[in-house]
Amino acid sequence: MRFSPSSRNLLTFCTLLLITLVCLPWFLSLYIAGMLTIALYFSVFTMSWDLLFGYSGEVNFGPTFLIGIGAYAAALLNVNAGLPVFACVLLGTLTAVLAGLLLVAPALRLRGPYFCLITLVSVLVLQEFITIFAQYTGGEIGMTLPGVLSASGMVNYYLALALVCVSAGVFLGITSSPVGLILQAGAQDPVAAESLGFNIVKYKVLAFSLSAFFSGLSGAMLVFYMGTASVSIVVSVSVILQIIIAAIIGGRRTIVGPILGSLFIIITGQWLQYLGQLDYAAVAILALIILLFFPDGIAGIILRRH
Amino acid sequence: MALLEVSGLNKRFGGIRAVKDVDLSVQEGQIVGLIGPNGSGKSTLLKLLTGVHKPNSGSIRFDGREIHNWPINKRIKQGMAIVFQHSRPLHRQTVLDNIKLALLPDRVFNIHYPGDIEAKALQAARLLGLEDVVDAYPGSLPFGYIRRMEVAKALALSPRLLLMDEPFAGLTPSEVGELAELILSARHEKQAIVLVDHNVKAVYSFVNRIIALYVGAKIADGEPREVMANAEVRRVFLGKSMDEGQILQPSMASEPGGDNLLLDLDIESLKYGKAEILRNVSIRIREGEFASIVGLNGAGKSSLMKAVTGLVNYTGDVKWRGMSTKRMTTAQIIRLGIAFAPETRELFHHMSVKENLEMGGERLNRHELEARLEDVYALFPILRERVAQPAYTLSGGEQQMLTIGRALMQAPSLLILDEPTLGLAPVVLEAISEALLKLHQSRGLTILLAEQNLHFALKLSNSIYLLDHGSISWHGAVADFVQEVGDKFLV
Amino acid sequence: MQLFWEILVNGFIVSSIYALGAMGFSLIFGTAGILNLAHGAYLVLAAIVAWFFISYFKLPLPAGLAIGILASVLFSYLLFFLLVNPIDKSKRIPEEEKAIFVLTATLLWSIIIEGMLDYVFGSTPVVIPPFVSGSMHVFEISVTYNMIILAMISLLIIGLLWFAINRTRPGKMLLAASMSRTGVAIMGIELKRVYLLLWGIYGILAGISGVLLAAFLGASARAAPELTGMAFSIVVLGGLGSITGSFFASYIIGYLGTLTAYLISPSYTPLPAFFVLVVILLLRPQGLFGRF
Ligand SMILES: Nc1ncnc2c1ncn2[C@@H]1O[C@H](COP(=O)(O)OP(=O)(O)OP(=O)(O)O)[C@@H](O)[C@H]1O
Ligand SMILES: [Mg+2]
Repeated sequence: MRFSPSSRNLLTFCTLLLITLVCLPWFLSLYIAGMLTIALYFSVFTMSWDLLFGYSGEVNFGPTFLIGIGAYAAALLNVNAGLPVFACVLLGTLTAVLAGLLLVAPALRLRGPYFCLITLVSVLVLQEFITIFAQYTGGEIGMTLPGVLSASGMVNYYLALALVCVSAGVFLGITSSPVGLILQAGAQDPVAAESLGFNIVKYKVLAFSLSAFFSGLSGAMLVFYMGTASVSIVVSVSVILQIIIAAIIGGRRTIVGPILGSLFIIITGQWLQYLGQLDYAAVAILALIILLFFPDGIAGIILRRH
Repeated sequence: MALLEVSGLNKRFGGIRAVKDVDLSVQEGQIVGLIGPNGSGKSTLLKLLTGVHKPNSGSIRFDGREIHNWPINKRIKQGMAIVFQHSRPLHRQTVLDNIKLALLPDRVFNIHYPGDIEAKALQAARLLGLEDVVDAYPGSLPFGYIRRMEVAKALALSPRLLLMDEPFAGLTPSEVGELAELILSARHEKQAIVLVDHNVKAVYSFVNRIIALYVGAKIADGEPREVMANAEVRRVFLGKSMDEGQILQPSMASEPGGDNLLLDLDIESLKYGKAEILRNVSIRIREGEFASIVGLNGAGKSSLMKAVTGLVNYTGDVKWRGMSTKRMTTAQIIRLGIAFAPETRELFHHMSVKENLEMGGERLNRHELEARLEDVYALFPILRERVAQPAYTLSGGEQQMLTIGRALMQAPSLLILDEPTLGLAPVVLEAISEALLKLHQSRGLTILLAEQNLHFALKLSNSIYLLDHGSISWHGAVADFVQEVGDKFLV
Repeated sequence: MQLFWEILVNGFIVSSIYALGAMGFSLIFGTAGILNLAHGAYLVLAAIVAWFFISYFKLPLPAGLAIGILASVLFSYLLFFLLVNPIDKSKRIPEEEKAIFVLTATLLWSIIIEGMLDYVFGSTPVVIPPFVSGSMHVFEISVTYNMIILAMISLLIIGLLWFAINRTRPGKMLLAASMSRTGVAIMGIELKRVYLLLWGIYGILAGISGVLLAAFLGASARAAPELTGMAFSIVVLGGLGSITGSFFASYIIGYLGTLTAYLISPSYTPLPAFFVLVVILLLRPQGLFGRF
């Protein structure tokens, strides 16, 4: 394989990032490590979204449909059926994959904005169902989970980091492989891609199942880390907004970009908290500046692609 | 057994019967030309064969199997390949990646590129003379290169049946010859080809059989010579143009009347990023003149036209009746009395034919508008039949007619045409030549034409500019052009 | 029987106001190709500013409304000049990705407006006082004059807009600009002017619908995303870019919501509408009246 300068940059950068993330907790307070743990789970959400958006060309406005289903399925099994955490996470992830497959048909049929709305609606419907079946799901308040991933903050941090590494590895592998090229071809012009002999359906199924797999897994692990599952953590529209913004300002189609974007969003969000009600607005302004002046995102600034 | 066997094929779009009861068969190794006037259903037929459209009725047998409701990709795997009339490159990938894509197998768990793919893709690129641009992005390449890249992709599939929709459109005669040769040399013995093109000369020399369509139905099928001699084919498709195969008669344009300078263009430099497209180009057009700019693909003709209309930035100046247009917006320049029919057409896709034409006549009063509309319909009768159809559903040639028609609606004093002949049937070319000459002679319309089709340009204009790598390398009268540079371009 | 009339009349009023609320969104998408996710924020902005001037400075109702609408126009131009235009002109953003950039920018813009409204005016919902008082008895139920006036104004404005877009020259130009900008420029039409007009109209439309909505339901910054979502659903269901489509879609969504609220339970209100939306889109991917 030929290494272009940018992919060599990428490799160096990934290594540096990884070393930083591995060493970071030694120097940080528990509180900050906890915040970073959340940011790590969040970056898996964002990477999964970027796989669909950046490569497969789907503007998915409902990433939390997949995340939420994974998280809630796992949580419900834990609370109501008392299954062990490991089994809950596994089954939750599988449920999310099924939910992902549900989106393939509309993705093949609908044009951008229409698909956008369908996915958004899927989240709103999920939210309605959670409210309607409040006696099982805890409704607006959410539910407290008996099971936990681990009692140690360090272990939790490294679990999250491991998940990030695995998913980033899988995504990088997929996107730099022939499959990534075919996915992009299908996204830019499905008829042209079909006319080169590719069965686009297969690739969409792959992209959606992978995205759903990691979204669901990360969602399920996140609720067991937090100890609660609630709409505001894994379903609500504001989570969707954060994911989309993190991906775009991190740098779409880079895989590491979404990780940086997520760290950025969560960390600046925390820093700017003293602004009170204006914290969201301040993050939005920062994000807008990046969007306008550095359209390739944070990763673009660092990696200086073409 | 025939490789392809089509019978009773029908396709309707709303009230239009684009393909009507077509029967045809193609044998292994045959090279078939598919000709017909604009809108006769050629592209639709190819799209039915590859599965982009599904037929309303009829059967398509490929290699002995009924495939009419197979998905596209399955037909491709069975051994078809298509070059679409409108190129569809991947804009985010380089030329090489575009070609590589065609070489990949359709397997989802395909984590590694085959080891030899790089070499194969390079070879395919070299075959079509693309070796210098493999690392470029298609968006930055001239039209001709993109067409070649599309052909390279189709060839990379090593199809048993290769379908090509106007691969030669927009190429100069020498480029056409080159590409035709490349395709033939890359072809293997048993490969069958179906070629659609309006370049009669190229088709004629390329194929060993011709099928002619008219209003969706087959009207002739056989030896090229026979079909070309067929009375109906001559009437609906060729017109008188075949007698003119002999290139050059003196220009038919009248000498410009006055000495009034209409357009005085001096472009020092025009750049896209780092690439300099035009350098020290000067052109002077007098009122009533018919000037043509000719040159190879990528020589900078379209950029020049865009500079005149203020669509791109440049250094230097363009003066209209002595007044600088440098600081004007495109709309202001147009309102001076210039109409532009761009190569990219820029039609309003979801508006009907009539709405598009009315946009052109936007500044006319009701009465003039009606009169102009009638003129345009008289020039392109098929547009009258399609008045209510959205522009994007028109055939390639119909769209071209609409583009020219819309420019004529503007009642300009200077008409700028960029590749107006692209994808038009000979009989329509004839109609356009006549119409342009009439406008030029009787109404004194000044015309600036950028054209690959030299015959067309030479026949009409009274001065020629030859653009070569961004500079004017020759300029003068038509007769001199033939003597001094003619043979190089008229191969 | 009374129930029947209540559903019929209330549904009609709700739907008419929804329809007006969705118009601005529909206009901007249909002509500039932009999904303005800050739409809800514009409605709320106009409402809150109007309310503020009416209740704090004790301005007369029409003056307050006018200031609210003006605020929306001002922000509409800000959006155009600060975000939409620069992204459009940018050479570093690939053409095919501009739509998503504009979309994300409007999303961020919305968060900024909401944040500021929340900060300056607080998060309690505001209600614009009724335009007229009194009520009348029709079909066994009582309807306030205010509601009737609101519905009438909405319908009137929608009618005017429909006429402006489909029957006037600037309308045609706006439509054409959404299909090819170069095409419009080479027709001798000044694009800049077309866009100034468009964003001006958008600001006015959003402003009017905002204050009407607040006079009917009340408004708060927190409600902005929901309003955007509502407009989005209506416009997509009707077919992107079709004013007529958005109009009919509002009645479908409005009546479905009202029916569910009356017959099943108010807490299930959005569900049937979502269901219909999904089914219709799967059957007709371009919406009910979409050109494409
Ligand atoms: N999607 C569509 N909807 C409606 N009409 C269509 C559609 N596609 C094609 N047509 C019509 O069908 C007819 C045949 O079109 P087609 O593109 O096959 O012509 P063609 O022979 O390839 O012409 P050209 O030489 O100009 O490319 C045309 O009149 C065209 O307007
Ligand atoms: Mg055609």
